[in-house]
Amino acid sequence: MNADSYVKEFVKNDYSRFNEFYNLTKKQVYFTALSVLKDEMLAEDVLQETYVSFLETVDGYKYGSNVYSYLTVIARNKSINVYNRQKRLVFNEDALITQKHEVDFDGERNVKDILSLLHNDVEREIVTYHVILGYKFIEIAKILSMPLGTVLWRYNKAIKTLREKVGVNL
Amino acid sequence: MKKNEIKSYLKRKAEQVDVKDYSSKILNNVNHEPTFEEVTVPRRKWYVPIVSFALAVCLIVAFIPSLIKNNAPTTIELTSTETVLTDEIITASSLLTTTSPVASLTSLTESSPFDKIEVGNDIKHFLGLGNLLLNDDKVTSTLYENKDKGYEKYAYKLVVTNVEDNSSYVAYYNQAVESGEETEIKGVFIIENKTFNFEAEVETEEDESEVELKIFTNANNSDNYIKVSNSVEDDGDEYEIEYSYEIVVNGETETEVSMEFSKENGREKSSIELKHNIYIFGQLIRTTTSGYAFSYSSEEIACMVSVRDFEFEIKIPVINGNFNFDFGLLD
Repeated sequence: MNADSYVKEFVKNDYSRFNEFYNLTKKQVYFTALSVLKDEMLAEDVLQETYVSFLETVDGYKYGSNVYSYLTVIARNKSINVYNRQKRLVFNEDALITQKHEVDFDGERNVKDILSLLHNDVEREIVTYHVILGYKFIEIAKILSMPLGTVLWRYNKAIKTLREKVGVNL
Repeated sequence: MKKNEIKSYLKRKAEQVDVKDYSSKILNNVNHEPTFEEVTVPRRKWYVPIVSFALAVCLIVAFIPSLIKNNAPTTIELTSTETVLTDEIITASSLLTTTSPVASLTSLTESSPFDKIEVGNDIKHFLGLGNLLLNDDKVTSTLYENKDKGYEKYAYKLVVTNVEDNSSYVAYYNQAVESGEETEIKGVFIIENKTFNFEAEVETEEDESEVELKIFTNANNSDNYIKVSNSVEDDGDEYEIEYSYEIVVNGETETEVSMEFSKENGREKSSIELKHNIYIFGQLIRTTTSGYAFSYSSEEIACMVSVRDFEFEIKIPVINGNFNFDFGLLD
């Protein structure tokens, strides 16, 4: 089903199939937020805010454009705002160290842990968009407002880093 | 661990993630009255776009006027920094030729089949650029006091030769130093037996330079030109060079190319993006984009390719310092 058909209903304040739409798109939004924030709880907060914003401004959506990208852009902007706020709040280096240890407590790597191996924010986003969310590099270049060539070599570099860091421990 | 294994592993882990159901909570929080919050959609940056070797002329000219003697044809030895800068620009200039990837890009349509040979040729072309980029001895530049017939009004003549394929380019020009660091250049250059007027402003500092150049493709229509922007940061061990080219036809940007060459922590890499815009009656109706990214090591060149819906990576072996491209790599 075309995602635009959901949007048409939301414009009329008909949310009877919002749950369906949510299940279809939630990972898109969640992983976008997670790639920026590296924190599951914050990512879930952003996820909720993203859908609320989306529904409240759904009139502005242009039919025929990609609703997944649209949600991704909202989620990304909100995540960056949260990230900047958080950066101001974290002033104690010890707190950062504690956070890092919490990540590995069960010895099992999850998506966030793997992505956290990439210290470059943009590389983390590119890997998330391409590998997890299945965006094409051209679409990623649009989302990040970045030249396609740059996206390509940053992706290449990121995968190389992951290969080295994740290594044979899987 | 192989690249695909990393990707599958990450995908698998992502599939295991169960995102909680907040749908009811979200709906409870939706304010049904319209709000004024704006959704910010990223604006595409105006990355500039395509072609030329005349840029080489401009840079070289900016760097070495003081070296020119009054006597007959004089060969001038370029310093290492100038040579590196010149090499980059000359390699970029090869995009202007009729066999360049730009030419193949402009012939692409949405329904064009994926042409392995064409993409392979483009990869080889860009590898050639990289090869020139990484090897200073592949290009020679010679500046003369000009005495050629038919071009008497120009004071200088620059001849640039690609040693690899023995192709040469010639430019004639005059220059005026506007201030200590800014130079204005006007002249003509010849490529594939065609003559183009060009004008440029070059700004140079100790380890940085910026160039803006216009090459007029139709002597009778100033709305047809190629605009070239270039910035270089080079401190010897590391460098970052960006070029952007814009082919403007009747005032509309038809093709854009942006290229980056850099060396950081001893590692060279480059990336190229080409965009071709199709206009009908002044309306942009389609943009075709392709991108290539190269990462160089002594054993291989990793190449990421994105052409329309096709995205793939190939590893090109490097043997004795030369890349060994085989079309079979594209299978």
